[in-house]
Amino acid sequence: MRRTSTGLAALILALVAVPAVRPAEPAAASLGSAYRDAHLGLQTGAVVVMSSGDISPPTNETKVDDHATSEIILAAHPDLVLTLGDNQYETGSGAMFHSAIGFDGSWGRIKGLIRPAEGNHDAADPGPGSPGFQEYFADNLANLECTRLNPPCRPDLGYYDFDLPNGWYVLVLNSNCGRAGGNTGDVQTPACGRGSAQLAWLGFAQQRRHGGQHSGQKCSIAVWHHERWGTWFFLDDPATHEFWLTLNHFHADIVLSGHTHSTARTGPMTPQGRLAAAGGGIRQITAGAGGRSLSPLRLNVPRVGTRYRNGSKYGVNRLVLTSSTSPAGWQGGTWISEFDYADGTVADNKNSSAGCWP
Amino acid sequence: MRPNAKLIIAFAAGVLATLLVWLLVSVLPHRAGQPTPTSTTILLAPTTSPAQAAVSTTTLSTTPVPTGRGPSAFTTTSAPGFIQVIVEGARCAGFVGDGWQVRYRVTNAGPTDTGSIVGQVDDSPPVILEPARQLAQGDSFAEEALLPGGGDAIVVTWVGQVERVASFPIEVPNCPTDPADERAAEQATTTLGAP
Repeated sequence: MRRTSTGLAALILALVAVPAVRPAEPAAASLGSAYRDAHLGLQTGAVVVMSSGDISPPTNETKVDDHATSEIILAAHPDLVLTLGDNQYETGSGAMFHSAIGFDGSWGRIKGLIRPAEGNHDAADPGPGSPGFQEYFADNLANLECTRLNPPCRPDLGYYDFDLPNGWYVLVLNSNCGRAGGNTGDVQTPACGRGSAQLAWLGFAQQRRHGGQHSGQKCSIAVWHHERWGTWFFLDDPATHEFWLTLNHFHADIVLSGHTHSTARTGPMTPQGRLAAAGGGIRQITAGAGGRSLSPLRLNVPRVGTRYRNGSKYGVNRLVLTSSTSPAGWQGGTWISEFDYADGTVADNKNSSAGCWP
Repeated sequence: MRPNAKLIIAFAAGVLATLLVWLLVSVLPHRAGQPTPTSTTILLAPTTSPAQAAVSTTTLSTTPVPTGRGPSAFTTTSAPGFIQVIVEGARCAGFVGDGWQVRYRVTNAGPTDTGSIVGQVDDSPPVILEPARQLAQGDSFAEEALLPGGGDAIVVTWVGQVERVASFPIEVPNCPTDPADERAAEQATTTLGAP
């Protein structure tokens, strides 16, 4: 009996501790030039991913900046487009999504390339489950492989994952934490926290993707609407703290977000919001200048870790993702990020010479 | 009785060990200064009803955790200078695109200044709310005006001959969509691919 109770405690310890305890930061020495050389020499198949959120104004407003940002993407011929939420203002109306003077008339021209994330304005559509968003993107969210796994992803609730052809891995999460839990509005609830189905799925998905290991199997991007680290208009958003904690545990590389109508990039951030030691942390790329409007500046002093920010131009983020496989079978890769603006300028060209976090 | 006592002791030991582990896992993040991840704080959403007050009525529950998602999350300080402009609230003037009824307050602790009051929604063109106003030393007034447009944030600015002072940008509530606009949007729907 004593053995039984001890075993029960050990089992509970394992279940509780896995998603909650951060691993030790990897030693900087393990990310040396030898590792990089071994990987960079074997790069295969670059994948171009373009992204933005906060896109299409309500159709009764005579704004066309979403059309301008979609032109950037049309000209660039990316492999994949990630929308970072707030696709259609003001309330994610299905009629406006489908309208030639709404999302469909601008970003709808590249709809076949899109994997969408939900924003708070998408979730504001009356009725259960963001009906306008779900109906418009039904084809984009159909037949995802992750829906056939156990536990399944829930694209109907805004969270799912998929692989890119070159081994990169993309997770889309729903930061409308209240809406995901069945409530309405842009509120903080446990739907993104411990005990939530979404966070449990995230932990399962990451462990599955890594073959039971916490790292070393891939390069990865996570996507959700509300930026974790406030860069321009909003403060830090602890509602998604558990997302960052879990992704940090599994050595994710980039988080793409919007919500603030501006663009920014941070250095590699710890779950505590500080710059990580060499080789650790996750970069946050904010691309929320997709066309709805531009936010006024509220955070006069840039947040710790901010590497770049701009609030005066409409544009999108462009990522070039490469991959490689080491002789030992570990997958790695590099990424290049830049912001492509509607005025034709390009800014913040960042080459991740260190590659993914192994 | 003895086997039962052992059973109870073993079970109690197991429960205590589990609680201890749970306690450690729960407490550790706090030591790093993190927000309480298990808190179930609910920040009530700003109303979308045009009949109700908006930003200033955002309500926090009794055990608030800062979310960064509303104006209440910010601690603002006075702008340098004698004149201060504060946006006290905004409510929907009607449907999306109709703008907001903005309530603002201007105070002057310095010399008399003459100027206008301008409002702006995000990066839309500024709109004159009051074309001309004299502000004597010690004056303080509050007004409410319609600021048309659509967006997420508003700024009210005193454009004086002596000083130009902008308010802290305030997030405004979403306004409801006019059903007529939805019908108009449907009429603009493309039907490419139809036979």
